[in-house]
Amino acid sequence: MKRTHAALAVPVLVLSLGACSQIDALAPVGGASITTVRNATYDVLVDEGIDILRAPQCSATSSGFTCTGSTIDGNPIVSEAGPTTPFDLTVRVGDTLLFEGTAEEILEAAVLEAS
Amino acid sequence: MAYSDAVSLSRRSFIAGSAALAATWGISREVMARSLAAPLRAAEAPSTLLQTIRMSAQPIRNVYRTLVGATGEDFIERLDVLGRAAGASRTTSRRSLYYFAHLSDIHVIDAQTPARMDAIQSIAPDLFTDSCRPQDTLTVHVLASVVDSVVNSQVSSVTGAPLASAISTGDSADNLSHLETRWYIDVLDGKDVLANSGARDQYEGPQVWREATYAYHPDDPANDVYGPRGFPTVPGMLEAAVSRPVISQGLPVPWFTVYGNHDSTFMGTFRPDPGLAAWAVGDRKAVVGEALGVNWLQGYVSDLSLAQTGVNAIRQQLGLLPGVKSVTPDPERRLLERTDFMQAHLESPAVPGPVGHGWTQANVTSGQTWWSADLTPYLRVFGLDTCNLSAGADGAVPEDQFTWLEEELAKCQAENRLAMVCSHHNSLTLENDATPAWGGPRLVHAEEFIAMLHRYPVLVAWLNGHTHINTITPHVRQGGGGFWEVTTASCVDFPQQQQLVELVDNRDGTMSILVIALDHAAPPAWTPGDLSQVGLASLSRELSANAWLSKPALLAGSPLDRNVELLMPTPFELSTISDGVLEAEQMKSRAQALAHGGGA
Repeated sequence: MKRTHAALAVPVLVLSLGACSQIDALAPVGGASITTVRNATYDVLVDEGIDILRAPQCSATSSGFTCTGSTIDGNPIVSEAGPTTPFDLTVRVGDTLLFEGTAEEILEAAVLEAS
Repeated sequence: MAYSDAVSLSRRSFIAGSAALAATWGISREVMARSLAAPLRAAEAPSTLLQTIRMSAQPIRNVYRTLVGATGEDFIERLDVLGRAAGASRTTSRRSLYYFAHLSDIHVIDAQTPARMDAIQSIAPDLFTDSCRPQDTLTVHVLASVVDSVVNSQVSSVTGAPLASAISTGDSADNLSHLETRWYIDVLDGKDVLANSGARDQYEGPQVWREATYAYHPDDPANDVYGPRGFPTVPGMLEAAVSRPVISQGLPVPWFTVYGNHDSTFMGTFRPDPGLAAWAVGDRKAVVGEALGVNWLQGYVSDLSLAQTGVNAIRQQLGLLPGVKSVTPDPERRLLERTDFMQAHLESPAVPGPVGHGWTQANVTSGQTWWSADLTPYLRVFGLDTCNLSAGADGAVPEDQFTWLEEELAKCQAENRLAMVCSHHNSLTLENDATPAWGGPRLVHAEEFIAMLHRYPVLVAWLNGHTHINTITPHVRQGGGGFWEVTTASCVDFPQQQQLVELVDNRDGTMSILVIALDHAAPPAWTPGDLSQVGLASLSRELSANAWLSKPALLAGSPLDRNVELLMPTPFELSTISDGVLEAEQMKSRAQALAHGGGA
């Protein structure tokens, strides 16, 4: 019974706000997913010592996320990730595949001391 | 516009300026003159250029990791806006235009207030990840440690320029609280703060209530969700946090601030109502999520129903609310009305100042929550209020504010005056479209806002926060140039970093914005059992690194978001800002530092 009440609480709150725009606004702070993909891409590029002219800018696509940028010597940088966590990520510079794995494993490793 | 006829200060101007500053700060003329005559030297102060903080390679218990000092991170050049390689000679020819600290998302928390809905964590942990953190009682200690690190950074480690100001981009208090607001202002102003409310020398709240298994219980975490993850047993942590005053030396420079969503709305999301205001100063606090669901949230959403509101009030008076506990009431926990937050900043001393910290009495009177200030004769800053009072954590720029800013930027452009914009929300989070049923100004979102900023090349930087993630974003203008968006992390979540920012003229047709991630001064590794003020700040950072709900690994950002040199073409010929004007401005900042006890 108690759990039923708890589960109902947030929907009741949302419905009672009365305006669609207010319901839409009750979401977590925006940008976490796209930033996860972006940051993991940047970590890979820095780890690989890539000289970047334009750091990849990321956007949501129908299949997840795509980030594009360029190196100082004119090669394209492309990373792609799926739509859901854990984000399956590939990072390429020109024809070279730099990384294939999950964005989360990159981020977790980046905050650890060198082992 | 030329800012001075002199190339650099004449001897006569130096003596006159030095004497005036000596009188202003009550320091002897000789001491002031000797100090100001010393050449600028780059500082070797502690910074992330020399040492960073990382998580231990191996967990010490289950998945719990401690923190360790690690090698520093050098500057990385960001060329996105410049669009070409940087000139090598710039590092020897450049001069500092302005050096300041960027603070954001301080989130000072009164962890015991009934208005803090900790228990919502048990029913919506992913929606309200910040409703109950393990380090909630330690935010004042962290802020004092941030102040220490700013004091340690009074001289630029690149150019030797003196720190001139600090700019905070909102979410200074956590929950619309008078007490939280007072605590944060007092710490920045250099007053001691006892981070306690309610019962004297005693913590009352979910971190000691056994039923609150969603909360970290430092005295014995075995039965909460933190215990199995290896969080430490720290007996006495809560008592130490609430029973000993936090000593703050205060910021050594004038500081400015803007509204954040947590300074504007309840939990940073909901508009407050009279029921919430009464709850905040009352003697009941929810201990389990069900109590919120049945009582508080139902009361909140039925605020148009007088009958339901009355029923709730009677039930509360009779103590019939299930899942709540008695706590010691405290009238100081009152929620702020809309303009109270600005008024609190006017109740601040002249030093470090400025009184109002961006706002003036006119703002309080008119209700206008945005401001502008001339940091120097050649640099103007605009403080926006991007918060949505209807609903939601994210924001937008109301059209009246948007129009005002565009007019002001046009003036800066006509006068060849550099400009920076400060707001709480960033370009990823200016998308809130919530409007009250009775309407309101049109809300401008990120794309339109950025397009407007691009029309004014004197706008070189947009400072903000909100996401708690170190983030650097280039905004490249079609046809060349653009500006940089600089987003800092928070004081409450890992990595508890802020920023040092310096605008420099490279004297080769380019300028740079140097950004350094700033760790607070407490040691990277917490010594078990250390419950001193600094020890608690250190412990807070360690706890935050393990607080998985906030995604700590994401919040640190990438190396391209931390210690960076952000290059761009100059928006006008910067030699029109003479060395004499720069020297005069730096003399003011050095005198200020001298008065604070530093030797910039």
